[in-house]
Amino acid sequence: MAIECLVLGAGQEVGKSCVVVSINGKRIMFDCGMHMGYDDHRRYPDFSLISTSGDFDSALDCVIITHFHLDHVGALPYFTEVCGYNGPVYMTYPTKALAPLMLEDYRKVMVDRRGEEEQFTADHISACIKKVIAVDLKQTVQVDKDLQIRAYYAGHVLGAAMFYAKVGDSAMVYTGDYNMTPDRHLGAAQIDRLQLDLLITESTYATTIRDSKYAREREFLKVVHKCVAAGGKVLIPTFALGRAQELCILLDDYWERMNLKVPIYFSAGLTIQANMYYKMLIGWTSQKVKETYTTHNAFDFKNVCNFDRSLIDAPGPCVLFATPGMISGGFSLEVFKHWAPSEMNLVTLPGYCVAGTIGHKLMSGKPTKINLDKDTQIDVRCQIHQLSFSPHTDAKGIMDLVKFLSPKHVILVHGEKPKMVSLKERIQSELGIQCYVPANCDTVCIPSTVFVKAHASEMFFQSCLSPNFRFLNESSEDTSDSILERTNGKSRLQVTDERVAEGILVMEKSKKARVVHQEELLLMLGEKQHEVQVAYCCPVHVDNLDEARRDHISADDVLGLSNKCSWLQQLFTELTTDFPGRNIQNLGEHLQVESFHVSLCWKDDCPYRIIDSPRKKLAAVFFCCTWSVADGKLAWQIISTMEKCRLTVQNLNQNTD
Amino acid sequence: MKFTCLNKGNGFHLPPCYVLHVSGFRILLDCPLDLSALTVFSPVPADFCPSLLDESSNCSFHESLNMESKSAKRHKIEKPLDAKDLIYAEPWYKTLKNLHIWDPSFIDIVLISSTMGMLGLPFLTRSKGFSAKIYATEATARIGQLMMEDLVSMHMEFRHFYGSEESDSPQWMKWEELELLPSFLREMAIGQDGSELGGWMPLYSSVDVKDCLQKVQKLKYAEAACHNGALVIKALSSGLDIGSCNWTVESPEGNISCLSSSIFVSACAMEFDYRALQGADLILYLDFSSEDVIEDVEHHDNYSSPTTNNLSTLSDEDNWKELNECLLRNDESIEESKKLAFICSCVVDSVKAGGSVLIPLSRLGIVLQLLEQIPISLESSAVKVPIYVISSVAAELLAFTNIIPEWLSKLRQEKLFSGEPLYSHIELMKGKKLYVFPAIHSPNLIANWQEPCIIFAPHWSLRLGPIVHLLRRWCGDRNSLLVLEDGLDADMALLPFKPIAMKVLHCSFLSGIRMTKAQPLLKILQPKIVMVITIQLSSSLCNAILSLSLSLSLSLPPHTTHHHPYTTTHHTPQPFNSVY
Repeated sequence: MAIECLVLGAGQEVGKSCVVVSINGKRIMFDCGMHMGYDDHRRYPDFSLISTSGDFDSALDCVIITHFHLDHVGALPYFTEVCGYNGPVYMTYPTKALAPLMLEDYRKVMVDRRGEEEQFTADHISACIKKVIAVDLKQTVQVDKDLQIRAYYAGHVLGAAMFYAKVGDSAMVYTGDYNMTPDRHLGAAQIDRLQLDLLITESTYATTIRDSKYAREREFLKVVHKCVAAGGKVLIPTFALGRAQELCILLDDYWERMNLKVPIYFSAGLTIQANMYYKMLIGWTSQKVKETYTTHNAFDFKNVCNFDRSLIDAPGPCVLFATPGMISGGFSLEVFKHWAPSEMNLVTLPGYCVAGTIGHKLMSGKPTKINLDKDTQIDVRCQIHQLSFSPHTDAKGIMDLVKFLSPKHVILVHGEKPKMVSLKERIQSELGIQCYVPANCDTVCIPSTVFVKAHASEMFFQSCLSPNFRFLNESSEDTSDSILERTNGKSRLQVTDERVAEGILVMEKSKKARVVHQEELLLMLGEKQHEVQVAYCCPVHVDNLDEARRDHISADDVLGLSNKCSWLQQLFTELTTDFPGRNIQNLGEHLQVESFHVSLCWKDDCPYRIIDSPRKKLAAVFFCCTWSVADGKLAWQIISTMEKCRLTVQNLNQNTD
Repeated sequence: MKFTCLNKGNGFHLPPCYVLHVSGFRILLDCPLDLSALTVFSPVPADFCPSLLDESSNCSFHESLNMESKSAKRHKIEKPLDAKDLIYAEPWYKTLKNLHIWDPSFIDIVLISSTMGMLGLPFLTRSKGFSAKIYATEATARIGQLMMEDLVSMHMEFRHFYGSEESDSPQWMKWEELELLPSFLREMAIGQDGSELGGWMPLYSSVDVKDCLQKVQKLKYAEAACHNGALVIKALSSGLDIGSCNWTVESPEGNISCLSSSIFVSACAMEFDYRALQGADLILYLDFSSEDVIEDVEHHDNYSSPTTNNLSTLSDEDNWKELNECLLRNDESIEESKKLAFICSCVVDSVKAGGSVLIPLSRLGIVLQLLEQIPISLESSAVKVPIYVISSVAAELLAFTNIIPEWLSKLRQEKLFSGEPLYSHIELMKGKKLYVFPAIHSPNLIANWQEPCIIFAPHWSLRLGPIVHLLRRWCGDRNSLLVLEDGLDADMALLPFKPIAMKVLHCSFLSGIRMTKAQPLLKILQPKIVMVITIQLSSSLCNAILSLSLSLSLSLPPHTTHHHPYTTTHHTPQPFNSVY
């Protein structure tokens, strides 16, 4: 089995995150986002790659959404209501509560302001959210018999989660967007040390290392304060949720401390309502914010009020939060048109703007004029401040997470190609983990883990438990054991007990795998034991054999009978001197070392005999050797000794007498 | 596997307590306090004057009270209990009779299934040698902590009255004193054979509570906690109250589910997650609530026979669905909401008649619902009276309930998704309909005081807390109303306040699995073994199990449940057998 990972979005880019992973036969879609930079078909992932027939219910086992940002959830109503996916959709409680606000906000911008044909309706959104199953952090959710998922805190926005999925023995984590350092209202990402085959991680800041956040927050407050002190207006384009609340906590707190009276506005309804959700979901924020809930809920902003359209051109300083975040249209664009021409005003931009938006144009260089369309041109004279505290992890955070989880494979998504490639190199060289950077619509295949549970037999256990002592004498030690000797310095006799588990893994069709002891195997299979014996008829040179033959041609038998024992005896002596450590037994008719068995062979046509020269035959007697395969090494050592050694016909003279 | 019952418990406020030996681990299930035993003590006397509070005069005052009652007791054999018979001393608290026999260092794991099962925990954690790991759900741990802190703060009043006492055993615990107690009180204090005397402890301190909480590992529902690499422990919602759970333990020996009191369709807490208990090897059936409901058994007999027939042929999905529907039928919740509506109407009647209402209930789910429904009832009958919640932890508890959507029922979660507050009490407080005060002498309460009024205040034992003073104020007013929960010996509880003219409403709430649902539940869960303790009526449960022909139901004889811990050992799997 393999894990197959089809990247439908956010491959070598940021936007429309969507990855479909097949893992041990289960198919999960992680995130279902839309691309903010496109207005055509490219804004949605290409769902036809999942199922050509459009039967998504059977093609997918579940959809998992990591957080409420549009580039992660934006295409979900389209996918469930228009494409017709009816299976389970999982997200955390905050995501389920907040995603519809984001979607509705976006839909309004698209339809009401840009006059576009709508991709999905408000009813679609509520019908879609009804299908969502909310999960809590760390709750182990059994999607079906085999598929298990679990959410971990990701810290990116309220309710953002990394998701762990496990099917059989294969497991993976999809991080979504995450932040490894705690910020003003959210904690840092947290995950258990898991055994993973695959980690799919975002890599927005693949090469950036960021400095302290507090310095950047101070800078932001200073710029805003300076602007309002000089009577300017501050436009903070943000999405309804997340950044707005974080900055608001920051500003509300600062206003309180500095005793400022300049109004802070939220554009039409959006965030005041969202704050209601934040108050209920305070349990998902950082420890510090969470602890305040009894005395003063941190999301009860004291200095914040609703904005009215008529206030756009009202005189005097103010701070305004308006959607959408990248000035891609809607109310933030409307206000921008009014405020941009004055030097006194300030626009703060989020850390990341999608190409094609006004935010992106403002960030790249310092334009003085921006063409909205053919007829409209905006003079930009206002100050621009870029907020660099994005709730994404930096390169160090990504490396830390990868190192902490140590998965077998890593796939990078949600980033820019050149940076991702350099991060990939780092992961491969520094951590030695295989890493991939697939483009959209690419598929990556990696092997998956399958564990087989085997039942171990009692006999196997017993054999594992039996000691395997080895006694090493210092004097008889060869060089290979010198390390052992050195470590145990003084002792003369060393005892080692390296227990070895030797068994046989039996896997039969439709039966549970078993590990058995070798002696059980035959019984199990109902077979007899076969032993492989190796035989070789070995010539041994006898010095005066030629002579003896010449003299006593007819006396072969006598010669044989009387010398049989003596030759065997001579061979025995030879072998004992050559193999001092071995237990060589002389059993009269034959010699025995372990399974090696040697006896004189009188047959002229012994099938185990290899004769190269007839001369040799005359000068030699033959010994038939047999041994079992296990002792092969020893056997060939003995044979080479035998072939070298020389015997003599001892009692030749006595016999002639 | 070995299983020892320390106490079979008694209703919602005293959950059962068990020790389980699994794979070499000793697991203690719950560690409650028997707070109903507090009724043997007298509440802080009403007529004491603060000048008597210095050490010497306090003693003599105490002495004289005792002398008086002693002489009375010596001469009269048995007479109806009198308020003077109660023990006038700083109360001690009764832990489970069999728990103190156990060496706390032998326990490896403590599992807490509800806030009630947690109240005795500091006694355990502060004892020497205790090193077990404690698991509880986040919500249970938080609410339990608040309950314990409240108990400590309410107890302070006694401290002030009796002065700080020496650490060794108090006067009332001496045998000669105990022997003078009326037999009824004596039995409550020391049990029939005197074995329960060792269970009494002086209350823990707030430091003990804090230390205890630090030792608790807080879990989410269905979070898999791996203990020592050997056990996987999970808390699954039981629906009884916010945060309460059933525990499952996966061990090399098999999967064990501890089925505590559970409610299928709950108005407040997250619903009973029974599907997650499917496929366990062993179910410990620890829900004894059904034995309290006698009328149900008759109902059950009429009902079960057709179902059993259905069940025997069960194999296809339709039947499965039918079973699930049977479990999730909302008849119970309708019944419960009818009870609440009745309470509301009684409250309105009393208030209309010019009386005040005292509600010392402690079940969080019930209190939250009443806090929501009473204002609606008041409004619909055009009555305007203030509602006070008086408790040292009320403000925090109410704030807490509004930030825990993950622990609440589906219906409450819908409020989150539609952007409404989870509970209306924040709006009510803003609208000056509901006031929350930490104590009865809070300056703001005195400034705001208005009668008649509706007061939620602890403690349900009627011995501790603001309720004591309020009860004294109104017990003679026949228009006033006291709402009590069944399970408490009301005669005993009200003894110090007699004669009583005020109305007392006894209500009982669903606190477990009905007998009618036990059978389909077990059929769905398909355990290999069910283990039940038989106590009188539970035998009908055994019958239910037997008729399902589940492999084994091990029921323990009732007479052993009362006084001695009993131990039963058995191995899985075993052939069908049952002990009666």
